[in-house]
Amino acid sequence: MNDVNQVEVLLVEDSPRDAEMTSRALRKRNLANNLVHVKDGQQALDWLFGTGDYAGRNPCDHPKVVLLDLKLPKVDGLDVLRAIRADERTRLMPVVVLTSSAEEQDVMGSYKLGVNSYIIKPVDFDKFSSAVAELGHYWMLLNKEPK
Amino acid sequence: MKRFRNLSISRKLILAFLLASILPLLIAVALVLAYELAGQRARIISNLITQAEMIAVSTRATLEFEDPKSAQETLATLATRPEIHSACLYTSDGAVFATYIRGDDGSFKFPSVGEAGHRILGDNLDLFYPIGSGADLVGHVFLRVDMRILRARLPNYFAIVGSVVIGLMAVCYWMSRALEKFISGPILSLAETSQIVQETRNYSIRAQKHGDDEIGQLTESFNQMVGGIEEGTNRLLLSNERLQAEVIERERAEGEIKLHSLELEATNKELEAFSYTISHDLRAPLRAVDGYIRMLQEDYAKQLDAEANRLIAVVSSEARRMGQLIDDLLAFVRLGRQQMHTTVIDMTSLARETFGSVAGANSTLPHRFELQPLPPAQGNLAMLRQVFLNLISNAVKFSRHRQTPVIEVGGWSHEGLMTFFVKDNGVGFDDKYIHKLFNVFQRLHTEEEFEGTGVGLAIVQRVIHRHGGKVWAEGKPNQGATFYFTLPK
Repeated sequence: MNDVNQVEVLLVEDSPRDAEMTSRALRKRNLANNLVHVKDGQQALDWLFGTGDYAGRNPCDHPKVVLLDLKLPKVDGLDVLRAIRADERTRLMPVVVLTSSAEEQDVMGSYKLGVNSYIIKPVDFDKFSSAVAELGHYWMLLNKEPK
Repeated sequence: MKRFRNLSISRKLILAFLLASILPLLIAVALVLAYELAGQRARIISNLITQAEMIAVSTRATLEFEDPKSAQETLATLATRPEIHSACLYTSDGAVFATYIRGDDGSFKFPSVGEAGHRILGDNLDLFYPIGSGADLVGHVFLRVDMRILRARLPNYFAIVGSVVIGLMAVCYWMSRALEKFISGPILSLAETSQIVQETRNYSIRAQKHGDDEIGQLTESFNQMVGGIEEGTNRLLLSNERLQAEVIERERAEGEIKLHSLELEATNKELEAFSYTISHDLRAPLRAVDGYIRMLQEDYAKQLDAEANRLIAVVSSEARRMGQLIDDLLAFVRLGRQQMHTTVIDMTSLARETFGSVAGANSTLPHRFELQPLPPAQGNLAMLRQVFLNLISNAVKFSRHRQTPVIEVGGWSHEGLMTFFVKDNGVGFDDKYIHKLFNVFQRLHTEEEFEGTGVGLAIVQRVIHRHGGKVWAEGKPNQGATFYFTLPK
């Protein structure tokens, strides 16, 4: 699956600022060559399951990692996570929650739904950049995904 | 006497009744007996005189005709009188003429003639009776009565009297027993009732009243007393019940308070969660500001001149300061619930440091800072630093359009109360908005005139209230403002 066209990161992020900073941090490490950015929960579901605007996309083509914000318009991040884990085709997809929320119920909810990792966005830009770069490095280069 | 005192009332009463009835009876019997004995003697004497008279009459002729035989026969008729022991006729010169002796007492010697009249000698009653009188005196009759024969009847008499007395005593005893019940009955019933009341502590029991006499009054008094005790006991029980009810009510209230405090705790937790969410939402744009300015720096630093780089540095520092403020606000919200650690604070140094940090962020600050020596105060250092920071920042902010902006900080100590003020010669405010001044997110100026969020004075107020002090302000439009706060010692 080392297809050059394989989407490596699906970024689900409603804030264009956070999205730009995230993709910039990944790009600096050459980790965002194939990054898809969707701006709400519905778009994320459409992309993942090949519906709506993304009709025809094969849901079995997994990104290497999904970076999922929780506070999203239309469909909430936890509901997106629930849909991913409920579908046989996307069940094993690595999902990392990247959010501002440090609330216990969000953390617990995400882990109960089978999130692979939960990262709180640091306020400091340097810390934010290095956190994103590190998680990108880990999931895209170090992690071995199931076939 | 002591034994009598310890007797039961009924025994005492019976004894009293018996004594009171028997004693007069005995006295009466004694009197009757004495009277009877005296009467008997008088009767005997009178009978004896009559007898002597009769003998005198019937034997006068025998004496005159000296016929002792006839006289002897007349005397012999005395045999019908058993009490007469002996009889004798004497002639006028005292010689014995005829005699009679009951039975065969041969040794009896008739006395010589004595004076007329009766005399008692031992068991004998002797009588001399003259036959005729003066010159006509022909002789004397002598009669002797044996008193023993008469006395022999007395025991019989005593037996009758005794049995009557015993019978009367029996009647008296029976009557006193009956009467005693009338008196002792109510007393005993009262005593029994009081015993029951004492043993059972049942104060609703009443003694039965048998009449309106003194015992009746005593019973009534007793009943009133028990009634009083019952009432008192009931009142005590009632107040006990009331106390118990109060205890239950208090427990209920405590439970309610506990519930309320739980609710309050829940509300506090919600508030905390809310503050946390807010602070994170506030951080998101801040993160973008810092991030983008850093991106600008990273990508274009070489193409920008020194001034552009200075401006970028200011934006970056402001963003971080705001981050700091958010953190402080968050910390303050949390501090609201936590224990406040207080120390003695050098307020003069604190005010100077704070002005320095405000001035440091505004290097071109034209303000003149006038600091009077301030009294030290007891309080939380971080919180009071925030108070000075907010007040001095405000003073700087609202006086920056002045030609010569002046910020004055002063204070005094009076009767254990420290008063501090921060004064500026800035735009001031209208008195009619004074009640809005310390409300959260309340602003008196537009964002274009003066930037700000309207949290600063609210924080000042909360901190000062938390310290037990007061905060107030004075001001007039365009004549500056003065903010005061007090701290108790």
